[in-house]
Amino acid sequence: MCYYNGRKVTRTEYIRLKELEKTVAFLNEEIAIFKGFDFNDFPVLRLKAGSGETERIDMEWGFLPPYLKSREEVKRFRSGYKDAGGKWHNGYPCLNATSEELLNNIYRDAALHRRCLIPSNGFYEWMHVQVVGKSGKLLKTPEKFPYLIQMKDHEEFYMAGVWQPWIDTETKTTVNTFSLITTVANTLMKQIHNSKERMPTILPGDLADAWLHKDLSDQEILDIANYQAASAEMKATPLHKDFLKRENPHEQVIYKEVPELVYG
Amino acid sequence: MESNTLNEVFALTFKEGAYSCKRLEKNGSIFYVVKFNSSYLYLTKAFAQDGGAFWTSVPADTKLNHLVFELGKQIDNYNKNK
Repeated sequence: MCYYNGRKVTRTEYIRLKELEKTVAFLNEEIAIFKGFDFNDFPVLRLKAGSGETERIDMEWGFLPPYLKSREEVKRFRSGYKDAGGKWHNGYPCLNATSEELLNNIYRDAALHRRCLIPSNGFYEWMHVQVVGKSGKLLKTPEKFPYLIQMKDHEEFYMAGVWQPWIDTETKTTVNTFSLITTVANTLMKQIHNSKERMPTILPGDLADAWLHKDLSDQEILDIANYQAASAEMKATPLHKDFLKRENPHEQVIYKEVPELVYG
Repeated sequence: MESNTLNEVFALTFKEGAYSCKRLEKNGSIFYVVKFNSSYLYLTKAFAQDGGAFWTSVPADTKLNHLVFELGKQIDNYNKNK
């Protein structure tokens, strides 16, 4: 006897529906767009405790240091807050960890003991371009043009990360959080992410394996964290400015205001 | 009779909101994906052992039955009126 959603179904129908579940789980990953500032869960690869095996689990994007005790403190930490005296304290979203500083700040312990990989099939960055307004003068605020960046030969690739378990003392639950490591932008990414000139640390297979499985020295950790994927391995697609709201977010668009990219 | 047109997109409404719905087919199963802001709901028409058809979310979630029933009805109407 087989039941699906509370209804009695034939075995054949049950098998079809269970197969469909697998299909849509895969589709979910294909179409999902994760935005860092939503602090949502994201599928991440890490070493399974007590074994050399890799496991894929959901973690919250936005590294949380252990000293934070509640969600209210997390909110203030990430978004900033005004104290009783009216002084503003900046927030620290901790979505990205700078590779060069990885061993000198709150990420050190995680870099030594809790490294992870973030599987991706593409990420987004915005090119800032000074444009001429209707008056014929350059506008003060640059316009932002989004790009989808993918790896030419790898539909899925791995970005280096570090993770940190955080305990919510109010609910007594443990939340795994992570930060994505960024390195100096290559020549392609310098043109696109021209406001910060950074890009994710995208690791080839051997380095991804070492990042997750090997007992690395400080220098080896920094060497891998600073790894810079080559421009020639990447492809960048300009997208509509409102791509996140579109039915097909990855529809390519040509902007006349944007200089042509040089893959050097 | 349902059309075999795949990947067509049409609108569904629920509680005064309009949501896009895409018809898909994989491995012989026809199903629909409804986009709710940043999340997706998958629906398919299933057949009970007594032969009656019913709409279900995939994966099954009885908490969504009301929503699934409403959206399924609209998909049936859409297919009928094509």
